[in-house]
Formats: sequence, C-alpha cells, structure tokens
Amino acid sequence: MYRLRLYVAGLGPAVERQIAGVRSLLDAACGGGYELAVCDILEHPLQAQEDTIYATPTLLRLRPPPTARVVGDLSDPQRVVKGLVLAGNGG
Amino acid sequence: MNKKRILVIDDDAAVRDAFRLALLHSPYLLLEADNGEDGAALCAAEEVELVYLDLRMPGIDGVETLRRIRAVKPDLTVYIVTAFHRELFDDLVTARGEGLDFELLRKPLRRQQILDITNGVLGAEPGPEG
Repeated sequence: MYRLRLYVAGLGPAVERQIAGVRSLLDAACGGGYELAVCDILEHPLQAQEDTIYATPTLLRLRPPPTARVVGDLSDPQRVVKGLVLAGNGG
Repeated sequence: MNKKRILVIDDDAAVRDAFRLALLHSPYLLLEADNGEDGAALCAAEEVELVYLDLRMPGIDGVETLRRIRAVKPDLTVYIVTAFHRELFDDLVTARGEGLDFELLRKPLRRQQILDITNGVLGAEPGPEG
C-alpha cells in the first residue's frame, strides 16, 4: 500500500480539479493500493517545512521506501509514475 | 523554434539575478520586471508561459499584481514566491477566496530548485529524490 501526500496552495475549484486529477492518475497507476493525504500549505506551513516542500504542487511518496517526490506538473501519468517509482501493484 | 518565456516580477535585484543565473543555460527566455505594475503590463503584452511573482513589493503587492494578471491571462501558471510562514499567508487565503489561482514557491531559493520547478512546469522530467 502506497502512502502519498499531496501539497497544494489553498483550496478552491482549481485545486479540487488538481486533486481529482491526481486521484484519477493514481487509480490507473496502482489501483486501490494507495492512501492519499492532501495538505494545504496555507494552513499547514510547518508540515511543509518538515517535508522540505519548496513548491506546489508536490506529490510525495512516503511509504514504502524509497521516498520520492514529483514537483510541478502532475498531469502527465508517465512523469508521475516514473518520478514516484510506482510499480503498479500498490507496492 | 521560439523559446518558452518566463517572467520574473520582483523588486529585489538579487532575486532576479538568481533566476537569471539559474536559467542562464536553459532553453527558456527570461523577462524581468522590478515592480508589479510593469510586470502585469508585460504579462498582458507578451506571450509568457510561466510567472514567478514576489508577494511583498513596494507599490502594488503580489496579490494585486496577480489580480491584474488574472484579468488578462486566467490560465497562465503563476508562482507566488514567498517564505512559508503563516503570517505571510493571510493575503493569499483572501486571494484564494476571490477565486484567484496560483502556486507557491518558497524563499529563499536555491539554483537547483529554480531549475527543477521550471522544468517541472514547462515539461522536462523530474530528477531522483535527494
């Protein structure tokens, strides 16, 4: 089971679309084998600091190791799967 | 082939220099403005694919500059460049409430971070963690 955290800048229609896009991509890439937490940096700047986040959107792979991240455009499935080293079976 | 254009709006010459140096050998063309009014006007007049916008500036601040940019370029990717502190975020929460879209980039900036986020937005592949 992958544990992932998505950092966004505030909440609103555009960010909701961003989140839905990531969920859709993860559904296709690893089926139901993931847990995605969404963290709004405007509300949780200290959490972002702990995870050394420097930009939004950032998608973090927390578990299983290795940790990995993709920063910037999250609309390209190949880019996200390669960047997070997703195996497609939920780890 | 035309180079993709990036606009940096920041009153701090050192920050503009940091972007210029980081992107010196990149396949992008960097435009600069040292205040929000000129930046918003440049954004309206030029084809730009990515904007790095300082939050705190003399004259009109980053949020007001963003309002002006959004009036003419609603889909343009705009990064607000700021330290990640709650006290700096009040204006951004208000901006979100107005329906203004933006992303965040943390100050201080490192050269590699500027490169990574620029490539990440404009299409290059991500690098490995660490």
